[in-house]
Amino acid sequence: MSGDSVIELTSLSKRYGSTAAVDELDWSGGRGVIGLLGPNGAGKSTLLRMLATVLSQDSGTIRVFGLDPAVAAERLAIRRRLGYLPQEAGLYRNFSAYDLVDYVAVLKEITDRTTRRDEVRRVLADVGLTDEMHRRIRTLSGGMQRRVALAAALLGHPDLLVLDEPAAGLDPDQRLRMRTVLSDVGQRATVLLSTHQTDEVAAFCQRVLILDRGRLLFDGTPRELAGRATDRVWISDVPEAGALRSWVTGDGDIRNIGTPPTGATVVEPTLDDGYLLITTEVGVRT
Amino acid sequence: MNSVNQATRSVAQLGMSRGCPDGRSDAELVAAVVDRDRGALQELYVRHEPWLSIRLAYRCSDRSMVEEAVQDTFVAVWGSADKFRATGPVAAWIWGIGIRRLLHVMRPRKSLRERLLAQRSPELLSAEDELLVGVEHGDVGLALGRLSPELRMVVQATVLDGLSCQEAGRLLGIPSGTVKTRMMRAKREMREALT
Amino acid sequence: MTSVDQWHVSDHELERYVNHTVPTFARASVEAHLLECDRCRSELNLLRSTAAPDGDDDDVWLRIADRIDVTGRPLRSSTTALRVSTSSPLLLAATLSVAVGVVIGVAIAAAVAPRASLPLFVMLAPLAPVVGAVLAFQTGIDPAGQLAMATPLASGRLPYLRALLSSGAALVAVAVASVFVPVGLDDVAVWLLPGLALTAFVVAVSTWVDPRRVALTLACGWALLVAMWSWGPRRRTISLDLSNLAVERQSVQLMLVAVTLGSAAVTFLRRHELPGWRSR
Repeated sequence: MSGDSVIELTSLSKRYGSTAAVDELDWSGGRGVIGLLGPNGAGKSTLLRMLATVLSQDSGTIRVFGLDPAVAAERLAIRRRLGYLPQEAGLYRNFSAYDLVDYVAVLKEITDRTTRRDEVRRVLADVGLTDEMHRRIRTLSGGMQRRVALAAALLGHPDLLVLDEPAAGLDPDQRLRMRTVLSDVGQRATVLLSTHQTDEVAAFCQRVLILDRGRLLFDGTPRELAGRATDRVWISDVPEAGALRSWVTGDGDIRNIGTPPTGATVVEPTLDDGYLLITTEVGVRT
Repeated sequence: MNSVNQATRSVAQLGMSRGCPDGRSDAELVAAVVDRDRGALQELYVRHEPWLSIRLAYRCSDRSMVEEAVQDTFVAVWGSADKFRATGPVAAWIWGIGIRRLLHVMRPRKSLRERLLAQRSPELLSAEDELLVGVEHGDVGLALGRLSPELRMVVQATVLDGLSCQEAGRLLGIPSGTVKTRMMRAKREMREALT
Repeated sequence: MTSVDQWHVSDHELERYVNHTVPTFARASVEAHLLECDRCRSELNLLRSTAAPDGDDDDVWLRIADRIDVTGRPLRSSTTALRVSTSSPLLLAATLSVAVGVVIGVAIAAAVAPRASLPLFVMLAPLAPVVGAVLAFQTGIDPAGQLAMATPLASGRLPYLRALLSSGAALVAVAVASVFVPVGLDDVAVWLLPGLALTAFVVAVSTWVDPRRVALTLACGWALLVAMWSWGPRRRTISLDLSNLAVERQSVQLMLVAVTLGSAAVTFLRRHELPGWRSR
């Protein structure tokens, strides 16, 4: 394999009944933190599960580290360098956080007891759960439970981290901490995370993908995404009929996206604006 | 930047956040330990290890044994925090565990018969003993100082350290009967010294 | 306690205590006081750290942490597949309750309608390991849920090892419990062989599709078969003559063994497959 892309997708498709969760997706990339944006039902989770070698595709090819998850031996090799955080972790609530992460460490073939103990401590410290590590999972808050699952995904220094809405249920302080950890991991590995929050993407993703109804609508940097809405955003006092989207901002003004009329007060676009523009325009077209 | 990260990581690994002080009381910490709060145990360690190590060192000159006893103590605190009854200060409870752990480290396990004999409940403190426990700088301390070393050690072991006669005997290397007789002599002498 | 408020250990005395140079009578009062006064204890901590500022402290704490940072799970020192397979408490609990439930059900039937207890036992006993195997494949049974599915060990052997363990446990539980329930069964092969064959077949099927429907169909089929043997139109009375049970015949027994071994071979060969049904 020539390219140094960690992930390569070619005409990837997956259907559930008559709906296409992933529709002829082509993409390649790797290294750094990549954010996956998109509305609910866009196919983000499905895509992530295929990348995590947990779900097989209907058609098309996937290559992770140049290996094919459809081949059993290669799938095993991928999993040895992979960390996955599903949307619903489904952790057994009677285990302590330590027990659970230790169990996953065994599943990740960390056989030596001392190494395993140090690894478990390391990842729990990374997510800030050192003091809580011996408490049962059912006594922990939702955000803490999410962090336990994240810790388990971080075991073994994976080269590819696939995270499905990792920050769900975390307060801003915890999100910041998580971002620090993930940025750190992104220095030498690939982090692919899905999220609803554009501000999260703006904060630390080097690359952004927008997925809607199984199709890739955008692939670029956060700045490029905001740039898509250059000269397409303006402020007004009353809702404009010609705008694609309008809403009232905190100041009381109306913010509009679309084609501004002449003389309108055009403003600097944000990431949000770019995202809304792209997803709304597609909706209008289809 | 990386070395700072690594240092922070290893500090975090030990769980030592020297930054923010823990404002909880000792009793609250013990309750938190029952709830498996590792940070609470660490805080108890930070607060109580120093005096415990020093006090045990007065009873045993072997530093490695003292260290082992201190380790055992805090592991025991982790395991049996639910047994703490708030009838006295946490430090006293910790001392009770600590001195017994030291005994365990210093003297290997005796035969089953001796251990069964030791199971009988320790004697309750008498009124004079309770007075001695509330020792303050002054007359009583001086009276204690005037006792001969062998009597003083017995008083320290039984009254101040809270050991039973059998345990005091093991610590001092004398039979428990001798402990009892020396105790009686010590009380008599101190009573005479105080009046 | 007013005495504590009124009197504290002087710095000088505390220092002598830390350095082991304090006179004996003062030592006792210092020690007793320290038990009750956190202010003087903090003073002592400060004195001690300035006297011995080396990082020994961390070392001792780390050794304590090494003793408390252990998993509470059983077989903690073993990292074999055995440990991982048994690490699902839900699975074992569910399987054993099914197995015991079967036996209790039959026992109750034995009390109420003695003649029906044997056919009921032959009907239900082989199904206990089948249930155990099916349970092993449910995602909820793994302590790490969905997360475990992307790990190397979960890749191949794990779900099948779990199925093996739980169906084995169910078989043993039924066998042991049946000793105490008088169903009058002489030949254990009557329920054991069908049990093994059904379980092995269901596990082999799981390498392709979700085994639940298959298991349900087979279970109903088996129950029907046993019912027909016991109470079919050819029999006038409800008494079950063992020599007439088809399973007694050697040819049938051989067939069941063949099914068991064949299914096991298929499972072994296909153990690394990624059947789509296993991730919904």
